[in-house]
Amino acid sequence: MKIWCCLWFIDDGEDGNNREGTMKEGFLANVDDIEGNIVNDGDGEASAVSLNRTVNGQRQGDETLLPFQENFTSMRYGGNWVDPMWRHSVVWLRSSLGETSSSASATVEDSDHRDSHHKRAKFDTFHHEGTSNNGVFYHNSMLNNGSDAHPFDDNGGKDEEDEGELRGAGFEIRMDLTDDLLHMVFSFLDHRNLCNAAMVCRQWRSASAHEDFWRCLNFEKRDISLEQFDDMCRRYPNATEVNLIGTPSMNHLVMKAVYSLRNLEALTLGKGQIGDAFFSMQIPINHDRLCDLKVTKMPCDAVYPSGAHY
Amino acid sequence: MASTLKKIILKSCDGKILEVEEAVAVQSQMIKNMIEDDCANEEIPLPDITGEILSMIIEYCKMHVDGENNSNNELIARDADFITRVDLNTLYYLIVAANFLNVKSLLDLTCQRVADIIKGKSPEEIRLTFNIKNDFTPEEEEEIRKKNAWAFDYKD
Repeated sequence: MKIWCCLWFIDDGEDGNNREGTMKEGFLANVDDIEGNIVNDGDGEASAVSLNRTVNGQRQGDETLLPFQENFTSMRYGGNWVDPMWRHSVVWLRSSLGETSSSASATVEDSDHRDSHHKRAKFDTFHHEGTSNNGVFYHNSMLNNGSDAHPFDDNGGKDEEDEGELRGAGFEIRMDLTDDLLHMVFSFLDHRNLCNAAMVCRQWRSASAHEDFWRCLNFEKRDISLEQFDDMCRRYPNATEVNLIGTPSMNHLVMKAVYSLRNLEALTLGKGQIGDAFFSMQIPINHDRLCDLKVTKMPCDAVYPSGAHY
Repeated sequence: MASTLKKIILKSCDGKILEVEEAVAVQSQMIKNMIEDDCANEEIPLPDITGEILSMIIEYCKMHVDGENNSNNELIARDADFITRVDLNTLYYLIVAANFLNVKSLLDLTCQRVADIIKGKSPEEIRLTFNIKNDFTPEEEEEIRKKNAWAFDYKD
């Protein structure tokens, strides 16, 4: 089905493509910007909330890690993220007594020395004794010293079906997943949870904004403003399905959708007003793929678009 | 039958040697490729996977090979049992290892588990759970919140 529209728009598939290109450039530029901030992650302040932080400079002695790191490097967009994000060797949990980072480094170096005869290629982890009730504050951090002791020993074997327990057990390393793995995780999330994930950190924001997750835009009964909708259309110009049932100012949103989403295959409208403009669109925008237009529960008598060709 | 009894030898980063039946080992696409390329006749070193994680992965692969004839529901139940026994640290290493070894079903299972843990949590709760640092400026945070507010606002 084609919908013919009556504004100044000209039928040009290229326009959509160009816009997509610009979006992507913008996105990558954004990714580059992020690097500086994350790299600075290793300076002194403890996070006020979790009292956790990453110790940097643990690479020495971890040579066997390198091939794998390189593997990950190639998987990341442009490689910029690798260094800060895969710096996983040790996360230590700052004790509530407030150790300085220099003393922590000293401890770590010392332990590296002691462990140097072991083949511990990867996961040096601090063990913690004495967990306070809320599971966030740790005391008497000490290093896991034995070669065959395992980073997971302190949690190993517990049944932790309850997520509250999972949290209470304290996650000692960072969930430093590569973008590819995050993408896989996020593929199991709905839009609401993706929006929450986007607010976690910069890496999660860009991973959650992948257009794979935003092909079907369901705004049914959502209180979405024109600005927010405009933003969504700009971010995801390749969306194929849009549901606007029960949205406020649907007539504006639907015009926006028709003009800016050029790959629409299904458009669902209902429970609101659609202005005459939608049905009297005369100047053509080709929506070659739009084959499913549902209009339900409209208070108007005639919903047949006069200019539409079936 | 002789070929199915062929053993593949895997060596973890902490020096643990595990002998695995070929039928189990080929659940890993990476090892399968190595076998096809005739590169799996000696021990295969896995420099980034500890013995404990490797054992878990083999346990999982065995479960899938042994359970081939079981119903789908039974396998799903076993998967669920396997993954809920795993704590967050182990889960993280399992994902990384499953990705490296390319065990598709385990990778799906572990990623699904992380997603399930994320579900229903606020951004701050997610950060605390996974020990992630908030690297947004307050202004950026506010901007994202505004842009995404529709996802949480239902029209009356």
